[in-house]
Amino acid sequence: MAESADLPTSSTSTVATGKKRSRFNIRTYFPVLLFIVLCFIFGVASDRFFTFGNAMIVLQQAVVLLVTALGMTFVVVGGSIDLSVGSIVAMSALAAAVASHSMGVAAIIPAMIVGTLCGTVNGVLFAKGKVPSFIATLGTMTVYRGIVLYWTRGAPEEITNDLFLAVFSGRTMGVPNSALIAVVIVIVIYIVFNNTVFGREVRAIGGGERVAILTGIRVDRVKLLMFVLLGLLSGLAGLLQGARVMAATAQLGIGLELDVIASVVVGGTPLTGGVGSIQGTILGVLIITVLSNGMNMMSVDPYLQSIVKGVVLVAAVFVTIDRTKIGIIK
Amino acid sequence: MQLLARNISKSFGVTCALDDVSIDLEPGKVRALVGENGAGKSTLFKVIAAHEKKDSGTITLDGQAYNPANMQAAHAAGVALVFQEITISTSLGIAENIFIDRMRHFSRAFGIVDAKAMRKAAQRILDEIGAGVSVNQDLHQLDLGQWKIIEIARALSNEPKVLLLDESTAYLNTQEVDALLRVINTLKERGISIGFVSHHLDEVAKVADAITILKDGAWVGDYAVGELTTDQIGGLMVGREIGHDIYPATKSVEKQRLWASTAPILSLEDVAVNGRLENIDLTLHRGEILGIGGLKGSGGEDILAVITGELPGPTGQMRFEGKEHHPKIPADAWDAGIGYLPGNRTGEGLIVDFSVQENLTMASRPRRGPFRDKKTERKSSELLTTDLHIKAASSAVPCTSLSGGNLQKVVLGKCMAPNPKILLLNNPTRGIDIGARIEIYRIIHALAAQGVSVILLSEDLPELIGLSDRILITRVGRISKVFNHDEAPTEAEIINHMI
Repeated sequence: MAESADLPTSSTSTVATGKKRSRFNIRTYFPVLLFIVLCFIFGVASDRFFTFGNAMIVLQQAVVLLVTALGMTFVVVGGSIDLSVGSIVAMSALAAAVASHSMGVAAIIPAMIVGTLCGTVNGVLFAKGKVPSFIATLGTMTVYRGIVLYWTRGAPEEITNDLFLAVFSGRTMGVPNSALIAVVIVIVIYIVFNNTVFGREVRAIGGGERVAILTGIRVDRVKLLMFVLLGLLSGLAGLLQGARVMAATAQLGIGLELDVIASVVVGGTPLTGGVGSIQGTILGVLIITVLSNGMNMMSVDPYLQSIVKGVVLVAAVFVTIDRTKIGIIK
Repeated sequence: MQLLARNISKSFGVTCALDDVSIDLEPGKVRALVGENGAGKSTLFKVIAAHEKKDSGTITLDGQAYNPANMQAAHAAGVALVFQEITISTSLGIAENIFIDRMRHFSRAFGIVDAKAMRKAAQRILDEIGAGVSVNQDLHQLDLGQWKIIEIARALSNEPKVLLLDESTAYLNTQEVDALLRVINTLKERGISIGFVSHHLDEVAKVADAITILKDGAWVGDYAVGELTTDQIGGLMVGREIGHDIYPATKSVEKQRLWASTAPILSLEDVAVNGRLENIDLTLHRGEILGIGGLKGSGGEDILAVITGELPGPTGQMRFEGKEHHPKIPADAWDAGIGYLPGNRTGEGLIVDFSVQENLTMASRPRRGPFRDKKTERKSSELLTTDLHIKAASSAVPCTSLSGGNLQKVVLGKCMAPNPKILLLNNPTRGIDIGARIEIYRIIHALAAQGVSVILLSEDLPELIGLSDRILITRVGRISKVFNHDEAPTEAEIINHMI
């Protein structure tokens, strides 16, 4: 009901006057600066850091996180959240593993189908059932993981098909195939996010859902699609993760959702929605991955690593959050 | 108390909001503060009430220096401000809303609040100003005018000597405005000095003793009410001659004959929505401007909601271009060619953090298959910005820096972009200064001349009468009267059918 006063609402608005304030720059460039600082620290601490071999390891470690985070970017920009991605990864890895015995490389299809179905269930619960996405995906996170546990009874489903393993976890000229696949996915997702009508509708819904509805955007349909897309990408991530460890286990992807959300947020996409970028998410993923990789190289105690990761996450949001734009911070 | 503000200056960054402005508020008198959007009216009041810090200048109360550090100190010194925006908290009751910043006064042992005493005190304040509201009522059952009165009661709770009302009538309809003006007159009798910002010069004439005009942050002049005509005041506000006819001429005879002989583009027959609308019959012709008037909640908004699909599944018949029209969501109506300009521009009309271009193209969403047609997005946005005289630093600028009038033009531009056949307008000039208003009227009239049909829901009676070809009046969910082309109703006649 209430409206803002007709005078400029933001006294710190920089764009209208064209004058830049130093805080403005820190906000946009912080993720890049953080990445550079981390690389510098680890490069100095260990001479193995800046090697081609380690770069490939980092890429391989980042792939699963990256592919999922690309999908999560849509959901977060759209103003929602998906906690079930780790479980979807486990489900699709299992589907791929089981199918790989008879289908070989074509096992990618069941993996994508399973991921898409899981995402569709999430989307239907949220968009049609109007269950808040946090609750809906909290529920499906448990259900999907339960399905995997039930099926495997705790035993790993091994992947033995050589062609499958060669394609999805092998290397081509020293570069991991999974990284090449990820690059293709990045290009496609970048185009979808920036150059499709779907992408801008997602942003509009996150920026102002009521406005989007009244302006004629088919909000329910777009919401469903963004969860379907995330499911599909999580499915692909699960496939790649299973290939990497050569098995599908019930523990696959546990805690992944936290790393994914952290990557998206550190990359500059606030959980409030409406704002975000694919390049930001890529940077966020690199930061989170380099952080673990570097700390491993420095033989940092694994328990300490969690503390560091948490501190970096909060610090990144603290520095980059635009307090003038966000009305209510929960 | 006599409040004298002298040489007040205030800037926000490089934007100068107030430049050496002085104003006097006398006990028992109302001083109206008028000016275009961006003239500095709200800022001046906020500075006096210590909601903003002034850059320079002095203020005295009855000769004593007055320099509060914050609003609480200002309140304690006897100066209270009622904001333009709604500041009612719907999770609290009426008494709590009135004493929202002073509940400590009612706390007894262990911090427990004496709710009974608070309600009694709240009711006393409401009765003293003749509000006609009981503290036991549910806030959600009250209308916006009553909410405003509760906000005034809140301002009065500390017995202020100076009361500043910032556009308190902006979202009120005629009945509510009259109730509010009566309250103000009661307060005058109590000797309170009152400052009153309003865009509606007729209200100013009814209640004010003196007028101060601001323009672009500078003081233009002080006048006694009656010294100037409304046109002269408007002219000084805008800095140029306005002239009497701000509503473009309508009602050409050939058009009326055409409408009488052709089928309507939109027709509603016996449309009803349980508990909200009953027996609604409506026809709209190509190029016609159909006005809808009525008290808030009397059905006007619901009629628009039914046509646009916000209220799906009404009973009765709706036909658009001869075919049945059953929108389930607004997207259905937009796809069919019916555009909708909502009543609340920042909450429903556009996304303030997005750029002008993004907002302008949000309804048309130019595309090539699934891909955005970015070239058309830019071109469309440029065209609309030029045609509608939208003043913004650039199309990529977030809309946070735009004034109310420009924001509304963006919303209007967005609605026009997909070239709709029907445009539903919900109070398109709400809270907008006269300069921008005239431009919007010109745009609406041009659209109608091009053959776009317009339904105009408006609480501004002169606007409703001036723009519409025909007028429907709603009352308690039904249509109480239809004024046809040849009947030119007066405001009084319209009000008669509204209440």
